[in-house]
Amino acid sequence: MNRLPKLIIWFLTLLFIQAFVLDPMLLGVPFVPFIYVLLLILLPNDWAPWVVLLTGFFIGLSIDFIYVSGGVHTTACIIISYARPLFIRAVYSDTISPQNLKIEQESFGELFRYAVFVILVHHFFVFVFVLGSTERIGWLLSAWFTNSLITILASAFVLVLTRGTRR
Amino acid sequence: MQKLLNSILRNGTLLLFILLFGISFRLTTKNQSYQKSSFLAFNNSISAPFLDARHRFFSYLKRQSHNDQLIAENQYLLTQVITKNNKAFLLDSIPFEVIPAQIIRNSIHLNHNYLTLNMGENSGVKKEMGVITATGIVGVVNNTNVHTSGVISLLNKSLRVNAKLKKSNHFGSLYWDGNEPNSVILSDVPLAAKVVVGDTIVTGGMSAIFPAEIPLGVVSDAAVPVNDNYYTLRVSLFQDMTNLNQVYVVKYTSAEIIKDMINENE
Repeated sequence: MNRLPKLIIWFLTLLFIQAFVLDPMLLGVPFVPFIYVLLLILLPNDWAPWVVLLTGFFIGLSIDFIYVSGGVHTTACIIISYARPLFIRAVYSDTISPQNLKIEQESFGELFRYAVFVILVHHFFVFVFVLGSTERIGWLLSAWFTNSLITILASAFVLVLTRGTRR
Repeated sequence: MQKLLNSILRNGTLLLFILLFGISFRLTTKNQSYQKSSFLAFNNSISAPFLDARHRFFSYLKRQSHNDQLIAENQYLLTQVITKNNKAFLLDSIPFEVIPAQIIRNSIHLNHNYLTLNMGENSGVKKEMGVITATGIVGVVNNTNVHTSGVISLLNKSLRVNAKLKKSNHFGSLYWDGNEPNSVILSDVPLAAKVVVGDTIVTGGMSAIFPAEIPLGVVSDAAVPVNDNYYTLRVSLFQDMTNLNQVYVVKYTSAEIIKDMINENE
């Protein structure tokens, strides 16, 4: 299948799960995994930076729209989209030509490491903007750690489950 | 001009990042001010069909627990009605009517949380009406559309509600400090109140938003700040704000009506 239709299916599926299933109010839990971050992780590496930025903006805006969270997720997504080349260089430093790198086809170990980087940074900014002040640093750290952990676990589950379909 | 264009093209990504970051940051800060929540009203009007579909889907799955909740609420309300009917004058119960509504969206993570109701202007919901359940208050209507309404949650640091100690009628100001979603702060309660842990807190009724005597919670901690003559109380809420479904919008009818009714009774 072409990459773009595949990405659109990914986008709609993850957005549906995030909105219909992973809602704190519906599940009655304080934290839910933000698995939509997988969209940012699996964006093709050869897309122009401005396309990645606009895609990140659109993804974040959709999530903020669902959670009525102002621009918290949008801001975090924009930062991740802009800093994406740094994460790729950090994880895939031994790749000869990063432009030709196909993230979705790399080994699970490297992909997981890359996902952990992105999720940790993304969640840090989400909770910094949720807090919006220097108070309650303890809450920020515990929320960041807990939510990152459940997102990493849920993302690993999704990545393993969809391993065949991504290649 | 050519140089400027070249510079823009060279730094295009950075400029786009700054622009998009600025927009999203603005959305974040705007969300924290309910006086400027036109974006929320827009959001509610656009997403209402989606939220309603989601609500119906989950309501179906959770119908048993919702039924149990409604039965418990009805039982409680019936008890209240019987008690009130035995009083000589019903000053607190008459000037308010309630509009049943269901919550189709709720947030608890932010410092400034909002809810969305599936009832709007066509059901008589208007701005600045209170939203309650049988076991506490939920928030105040902030914006309305034809079919939905936006509500400032009690878990919104901007909202302050008049409340009092049930046993002594000493008033204070109730607000959420942004910590646990199941507890709030009642400040400015005079030391003469002699508060003890376990005292019940109810609404004060000093506004046309919430009726008096709606139970809110119990005092779980009482402290007096240094050099202060007032208590700062932590209140454990009766209402679980993370698990809301059926609520009632409070409609305040004119105070003149009650006077007329009392005259008629006399």
